[in-house]
Amino acid sequence: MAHHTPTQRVQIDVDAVTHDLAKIVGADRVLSDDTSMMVYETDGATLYKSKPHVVVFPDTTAHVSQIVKYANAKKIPFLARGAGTGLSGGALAGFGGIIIAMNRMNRILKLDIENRRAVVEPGVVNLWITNAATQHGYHYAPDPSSQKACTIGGNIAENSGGPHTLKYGVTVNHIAEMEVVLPNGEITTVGSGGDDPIGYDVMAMLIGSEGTLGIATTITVKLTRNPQGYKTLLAVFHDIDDATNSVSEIIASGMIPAALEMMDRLIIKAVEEAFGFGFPSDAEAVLIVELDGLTVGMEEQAEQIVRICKERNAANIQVANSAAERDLLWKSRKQAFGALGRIAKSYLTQDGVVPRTKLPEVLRTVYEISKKYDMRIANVFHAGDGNIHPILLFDEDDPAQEKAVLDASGEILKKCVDVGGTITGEHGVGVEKMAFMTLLFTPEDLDLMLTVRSLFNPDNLLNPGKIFPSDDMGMGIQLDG
Amino acid sequence: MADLKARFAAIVGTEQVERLDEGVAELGVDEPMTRVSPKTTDDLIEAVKFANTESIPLIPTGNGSAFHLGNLPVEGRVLLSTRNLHATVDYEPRDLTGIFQAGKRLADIQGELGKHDQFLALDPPNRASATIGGIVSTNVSGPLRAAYGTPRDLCLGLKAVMIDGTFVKGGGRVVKNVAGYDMTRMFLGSLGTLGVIVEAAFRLHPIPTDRRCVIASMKSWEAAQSLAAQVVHSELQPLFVELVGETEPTVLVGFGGIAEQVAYQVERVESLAKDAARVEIASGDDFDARHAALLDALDAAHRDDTRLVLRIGTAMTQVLPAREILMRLVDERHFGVQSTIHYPSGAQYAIVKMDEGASGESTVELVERLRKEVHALNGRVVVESAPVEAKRRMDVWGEPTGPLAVMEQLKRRLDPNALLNRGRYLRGIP
Repeated sequence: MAHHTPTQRVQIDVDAVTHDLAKIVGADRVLSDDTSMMVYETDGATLYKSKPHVVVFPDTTAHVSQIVKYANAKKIPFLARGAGTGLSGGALAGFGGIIIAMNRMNRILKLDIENRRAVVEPGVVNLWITNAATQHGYHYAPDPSSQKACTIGGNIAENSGGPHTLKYGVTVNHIAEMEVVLPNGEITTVGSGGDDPIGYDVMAMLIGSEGTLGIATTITVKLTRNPQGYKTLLAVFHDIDDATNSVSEIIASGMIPAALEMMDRLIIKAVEEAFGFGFPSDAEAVLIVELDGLTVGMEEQAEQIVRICKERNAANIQVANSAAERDLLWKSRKQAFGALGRIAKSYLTQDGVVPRTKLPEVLRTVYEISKKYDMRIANVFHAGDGNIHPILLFDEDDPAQEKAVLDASGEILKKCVDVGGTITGEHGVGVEKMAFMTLLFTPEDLDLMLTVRSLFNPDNLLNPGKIFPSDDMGMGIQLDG
Repeated sequence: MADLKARFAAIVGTEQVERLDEGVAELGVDEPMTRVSPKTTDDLIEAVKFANTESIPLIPTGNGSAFHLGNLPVEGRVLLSTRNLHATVDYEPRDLTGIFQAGKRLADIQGELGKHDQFLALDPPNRASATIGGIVSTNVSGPLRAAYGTPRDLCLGLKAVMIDGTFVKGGGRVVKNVAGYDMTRMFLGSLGTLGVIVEAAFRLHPIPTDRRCVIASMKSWEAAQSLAAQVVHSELQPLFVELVGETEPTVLVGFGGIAEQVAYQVERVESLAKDAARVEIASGDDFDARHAALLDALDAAHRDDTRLVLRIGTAMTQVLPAREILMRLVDERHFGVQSTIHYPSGAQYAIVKMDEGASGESTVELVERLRKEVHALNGRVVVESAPVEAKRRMDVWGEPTGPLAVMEQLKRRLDPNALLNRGRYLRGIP
């Protein structure tokens, strides 16, 4: 599909670059054959494709710095990549060039439980930190759905969230310090181990910059105490407004659950067909509420949630009383994406955020859009944050459907902005939503960001073709459909 | 000067421009200053444009409750205040978010939110008079940061006026937002040196219905630290864990939430504090008074021009070693010191009472020695307030937490003629 691949590619003498990079990292750490490049042409947003010319695997910060300096000297675009699980096309080489694959820098360097910190390399998988810390009663709080695969470096680039961010916050709230290779190859440190920044908050500017302002090479993360207990509830609703209104009421009652997740009819049907959880066939919404923290008083809070849901006509309220039952209740949510794979050839996951009280209105619009395009849209989302993930089902081999998916996505995102929300809560803008930045931001707002980019990344060699409408290669969603 | 007053008055209205004959002592200015307090954002934009065209340095301010912060300004004689921009732009209790104009006082915000049993979970020492714009600009926080974080964690978005009058925004009003760069946090804590913040959006919280605080008088700082560490590493969820005192420390652990949980947690701390000399429990109004007392001591010290207030930031485990360094250096000089430590964040505030007639030089020397030794613990020392005489000879900020060259370039790009709070931020930032 020409529509979803870039129109421009840089010209590179691949053999020479491969040879030069091999001198830095060793010949076995550089790939440039066509088959290998196919592996790196896309990330979790499989609709968007662009191959790099070369992929290089550094082992050390010094390697990264040397590679970056080399790319600068040769004016070759480059970007860092972790597991490639991103959902906005942020980790593909928009114009070709060099991908710096951080996967070999994957050591947990230090667990400092006394100070609630861990020092890790960027290629460390998110869940590994929790696995290492759990014996001490700690975990790393941001838990994107891809946490078994995604890396901390990628989480930093995207400022990743997850189901538990309602209570615990996103990546930027959990990073204490980073060693960073700046786009010119210089190595620097940002942050202070956790106390307040002194001077401008350069660390926060780097986090969520989608890999365009620097490459984190060593990261000190904050660890969070494991809660004493959990209480997980699952409620089935026959009306989706009842479910979303329950969410608002639970929050308004003063509780801050660790997670408030919702699934709608289509996704319930898919998981039901795939795994047979026993959801009623006329279920319009499933709400999963998880409380965590002290076990004292948790029972009463759970009862209050049950009351709120019942007042909103919930049926089949299940409460988990053991770890096994908790896992079972979460299973439907965690396997939602897998289940969709069985009923559609391809799907695109969107990522809008709206004020919680606007959820009923926005979901109605999503259903209207689904009808208008005659396209199945499943919704599984972080209701507590107002972070919706409409999943648009289509057939990748049908060009008409591909275009419709992007157009329908555009209409959904427009609605999110109209009600005071945003176009991405955790997936990033990437190559997908560049055109939509103008809906959220004025030319002045964008100029300010571009000024920041030009300061760090003056030649726009580090991950070009991302975020900004001025960089748009026309791969993603277009404003006018 | 008179001419300047008239020219600003022509833009923002006569009533909105005042002459401060005595200047502002905390800023080290004893000659007349002009305070411009526009009533609308548009007027503020015009005032900034005028200052830019005429190259008039501006000192952005809210209600003036944080003039003690920062180095002394260079050449600034005009205060640009947001105090007349104090509307609630939007507050939806069911969303637990609120948007306020920069000049709105935190105290007034709490009053409004309190009607819905909600609050903005920030408790800076200057909470009675501080405006929300000032709080965002200084990223100031208090003990509650242990449970809720700092402005950096609670601010969802903001709007600002750049020196050329350009109006920009960062973030938004929803709790999750990764569209574009994080301009919100760029402005947070920038002390008005990049732009004038005119509006900010926040995540809000329900007011904990039941509030109780365990106050344990400990026999030694080691015992105090040990108790605090046990609390931090336990299942407990304190609102704050504070270590305060001079020679004999007190540990204050605050809890809030539903009664049953609070009661359980209070009991747990009591059992952990077995070797305390004395344990008291404060609840309800008594809790609020104890909490307020923690803040008032610092607030008073910030306003006292004979005191030196230091913020020493280290890892939790280095809190006591850092305090020991401080005590030794202070003792050598026969000064007195009172400490307030937000234990979970490792932020340690020291109120140093200097000898009468102690020279500015001896204060500067103390700070330099302290910085050097605390740096060896991987910590940092910021001077939050100091006698003006001492300020004239020192850099209050010390080493930044990021590359100074990048920060300097950022400032030069966004405020090329260094008109915003010139000289008040880091050394090396014009």
